[in-house]
Amino acid sequence: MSILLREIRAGRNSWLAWTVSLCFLTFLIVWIYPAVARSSEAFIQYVDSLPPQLTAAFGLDRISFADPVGFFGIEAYSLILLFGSIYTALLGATILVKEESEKTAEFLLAKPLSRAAIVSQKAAAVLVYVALFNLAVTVVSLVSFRLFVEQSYRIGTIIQLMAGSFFCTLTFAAIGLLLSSALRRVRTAYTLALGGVLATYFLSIFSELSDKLEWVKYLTPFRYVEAADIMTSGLSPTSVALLLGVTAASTGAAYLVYGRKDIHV
Amino acid sequence: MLAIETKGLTKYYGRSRGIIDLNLEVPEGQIFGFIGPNGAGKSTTIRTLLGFLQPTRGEARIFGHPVCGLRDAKLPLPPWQVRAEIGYVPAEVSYYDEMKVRELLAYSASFYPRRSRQEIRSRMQELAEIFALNLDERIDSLSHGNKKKVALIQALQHRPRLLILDEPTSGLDPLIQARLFSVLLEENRAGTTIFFSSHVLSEVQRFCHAVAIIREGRLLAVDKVENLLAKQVKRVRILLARSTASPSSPASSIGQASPVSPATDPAEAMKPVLTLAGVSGVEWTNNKSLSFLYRGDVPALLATLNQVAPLVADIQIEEPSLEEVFLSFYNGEVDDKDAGVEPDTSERR
Repeated sequence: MSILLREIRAGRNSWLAWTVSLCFLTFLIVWIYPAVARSSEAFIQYVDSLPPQLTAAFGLDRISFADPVGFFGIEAYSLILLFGSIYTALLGATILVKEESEKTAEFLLAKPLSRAAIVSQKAAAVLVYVALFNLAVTVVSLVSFRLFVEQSYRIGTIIQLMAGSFFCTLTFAAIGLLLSSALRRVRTAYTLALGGVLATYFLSIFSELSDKLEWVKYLTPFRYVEAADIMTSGLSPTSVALLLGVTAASTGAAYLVYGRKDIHV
Repeated sequence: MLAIETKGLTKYYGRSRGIIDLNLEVPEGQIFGFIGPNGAGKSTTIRTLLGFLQPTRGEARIFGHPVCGLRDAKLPLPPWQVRAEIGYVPAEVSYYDEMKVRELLAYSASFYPRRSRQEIRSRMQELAEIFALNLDERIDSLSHGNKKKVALIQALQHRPRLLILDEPTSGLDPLIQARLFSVLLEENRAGTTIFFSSHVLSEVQRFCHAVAIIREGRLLAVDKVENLLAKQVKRVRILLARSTASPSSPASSIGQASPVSPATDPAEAMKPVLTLAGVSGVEWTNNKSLSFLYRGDVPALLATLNQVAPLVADIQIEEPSLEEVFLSFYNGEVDDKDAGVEPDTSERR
């Protein structure tokens, strides 16, 4: 338990920084919605003038700016997904390997602890922060809607979107954890985690631009929690199962890899 | 009971050598020195014992419990549990910068749930006073030496049965080093086994019961310190008589007919001694005195010295420092059989 507690203390500042920034952005986006809605005619004309592939890439063909949750889905949710995934991927990718990079592994691993116990407690700390991040953003979104949006809107859709964000960020955290169990240097972990998130994010956008790239979308976690899909047909249980499957497999592999890893300091 | 036991312990990093066929036995209750130059495999051995590294082959036990190398066997006790009995001080100390010393030590203590918190805390206070360490400083503000003190306290505070110390005195000032050794001797009297690696041979010589010498991944010798010092090598110092000394000088009146003339070149004159089997590390000082290491029969040495007796003004035969013994091992000057050395001819990598 003491590793979990320590990691929670150690991760507090970075959680605060990411969460406060994204909550603030979400708050601003919901706050400007009424003004956008008033001038929505012009805005919709602008969107219509965009090439159809581009609008499809952002799901604009299926959701409307005239709907407040639609606006949230396009403007805020995509940012929450991208930056949330970067945050949680980095969190997961550094959690184990930082002990080696900072040479504290010689302290921690000399204690009567199994490698599995170390992975469990560190993974639990990551899970706590992934949950707290999504919870905080959800609460701020709901509060902002309550404050600024006068039209009727479906709270359930917002919650489903944020559940999608939770599963997506959790998947990235678990893939990060697997990286962390295998790598030797924090810097490599940072580069791979950040590169991986950005690559899959752009993949999810480009896969919509051309039919030839259709298959590529299955490779990116972002596609399983698309705003347009969740808003038209709800969060798909298959997608959730798939993301959870990847999460479980990555976490399981992290135990195996870390259990056999030679620790060089 | 053996505190540490390794059998054929071997670790390769890819294709490069870590340690090869290490057979080590450290009886419980000893202070055991582990010496060798950088890169010889000291830290690799220690890290394998602590479970950081999986050995390529071989096995290791601590207090009879296998700690590695028996992946398939059903272990009576998971290897990591043995670490509850160990205190470890790494060669280079690094801790969580944002913590205070007190927090770090409490964090360390939290991993030993079977020990009483109260006792650990009072031991921590005691050790902090002995080592003159302020517990309320932040780790990142500590000097190298002060971090080492933190390492020592976190290794000692839970009263382990085995202390594994990788160069424990590096970075400590002489006063603290002396206090450390008095703490270690006290721990040892209470039954704690101490296994420490060092470069500083004088401290090994002073405090260790036995010592193992490692070179290029192989164990060269394991012996009691007295034995290593006594039976292996002698340091012989000879002060030459003045070369102007007349044949009637006291040196020649010993009565032996001497084949050498004192007027010749001293190196030439001392040749019978210098070419004697077992002589090494000859050092001359201004052609007036010489010293060398001798390993072999004492009678043979005396007989040869007798041949050059007229040249000798004074002679000292003493135990060499462990450093000299150590260097003689490193220069490959020790007969394999005598020193229990493993043959160095077998394949490397």
